[in-house]
Amino acid sequence: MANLSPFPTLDFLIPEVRRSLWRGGWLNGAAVIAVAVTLFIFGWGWQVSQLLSASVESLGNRLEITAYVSPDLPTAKVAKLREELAALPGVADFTWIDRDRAWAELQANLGLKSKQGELDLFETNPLSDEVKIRAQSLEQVAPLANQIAQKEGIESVQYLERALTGLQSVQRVVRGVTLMLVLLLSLTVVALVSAILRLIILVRQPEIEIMTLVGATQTWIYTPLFLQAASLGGGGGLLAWIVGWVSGQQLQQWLAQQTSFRALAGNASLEWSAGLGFFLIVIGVILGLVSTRLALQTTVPMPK
Amino acid sequence: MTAVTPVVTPGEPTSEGVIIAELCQVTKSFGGPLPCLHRVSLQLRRGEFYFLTGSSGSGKSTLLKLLCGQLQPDQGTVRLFGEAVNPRHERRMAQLRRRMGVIFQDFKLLGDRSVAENVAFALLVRGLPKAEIQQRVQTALKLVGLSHKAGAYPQSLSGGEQQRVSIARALVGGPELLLADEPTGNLDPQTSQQILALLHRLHQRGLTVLFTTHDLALTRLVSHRILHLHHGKLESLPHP
Repeated sequence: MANLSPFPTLDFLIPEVRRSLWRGGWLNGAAVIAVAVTLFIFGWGWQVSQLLSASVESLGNRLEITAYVSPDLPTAKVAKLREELAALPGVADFTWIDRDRAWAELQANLGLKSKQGELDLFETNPLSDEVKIRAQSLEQVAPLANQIAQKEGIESVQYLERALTGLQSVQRVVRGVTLMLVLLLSLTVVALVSAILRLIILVRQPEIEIMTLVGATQTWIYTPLFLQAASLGGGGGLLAWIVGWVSGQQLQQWLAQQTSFRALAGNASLEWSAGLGFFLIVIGVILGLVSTRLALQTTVPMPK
Repeated sequence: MTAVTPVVTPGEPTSEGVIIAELCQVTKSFGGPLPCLHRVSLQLRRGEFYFLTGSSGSGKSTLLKLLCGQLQPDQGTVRLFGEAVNPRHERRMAQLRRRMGVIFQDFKLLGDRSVAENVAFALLVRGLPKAEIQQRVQTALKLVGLSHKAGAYPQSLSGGEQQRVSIARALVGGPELLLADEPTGNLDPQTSQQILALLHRLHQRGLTVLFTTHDLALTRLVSHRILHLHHGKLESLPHP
């Protein structure tokens, strides 16, 4: 009989996968739940990391760089410096506060406008021109501050470096911990699912033997198993997304009422998007396929 | 040994056919003090019926497993249909296995599939069209006299019927060679004779058969070449 179809037909695959899933019984449930738990943790790690990113970004956008211009800088050079600062790349907003205006504001703030206090303490205006600059993005704050500091006529530059780097560190830690957790859990899931598949292979051994003897290729023999594992992994991904979506909705509603959260995260959302769902399903399928490969490597004997 | 009467007319074995399966100086050991098979050479010619006898553990099943590529020889070569058998060449082995059928002592039927599904399974995994599978299954079941049991499940069949389903499954692909590994080992003498008669009829239609048995009485029922395994060596016995 000629070699007919190198790949299994649907007539063969659908009943075989259905039969194998039916036989797997509660083991299928265990595999789906294991994948779902891992992907749920991954999903939340991802969401928290995104939230922190949004918070850092939002805070960073609000971070201002304040530069003080040397009082001795000649007026001609002040104008040039002003142009240079405004033209720096990454500048989103630029405000020049000249020393006279600053001094007037300070006096107003201190209530020193009355006759008895006015300029009693200083013979001349002690302030220098001040520049407030906002960067276009968080990453640009530090380099921009460095560039400003190197300009001629700039006496000093200030910005909230510590707060910024602190938040960035938290973000890095969250990402690292999530990644590590997911890696460890993925290994556990692959081990668990491949153990389940090994059991299923053992249960199917009589069929596998017959299939081999009647001339089925390994593609025909093992494709149903790969499909079964992929459907278990995909099912786990889908379950993780559904549970994540529901919990995200609840948490989002609760957090929306918390003023401090709104101030920190701005418009960041904790809702699980359809894109994240698709991503989780794909990861679940990949975990299933890797588990099958491992199960076959350790179960299928080569002729001795 | 059971006393039985011949159920078929003995035929004259020929030695002119083309060699379709061959073992050349094959040695196979499983770690024991003596090899299971020691420098065994065998040629199976097209259209012949061979009995392979020997006591339990004499290596009959090992020899069959070597022929269908389930085992690899430690030494020597196995050739099927003119090609060297290499179980590691999975696709090529699958092609070679499609040219032969195998039946077993324990039938190896799938309990959760009907008789027709068991027989069809051999064709389904080769990717044949549904209509052709149905037609071939009907023919095979008719050949073994089980058309009326197509929808039954193996558990509801007698041992002899189960073995006939197994034979139908082996035949449905149109094999050139049938390897029967103790096909009557689990059957009573009368049913054993029926199975032997069936295989003999198939042989008369041109099928090459290698029939292993430890029951020498069966070999007296039909006149075919008898090969005997003893202490890992293959001997040719005269017909009783």
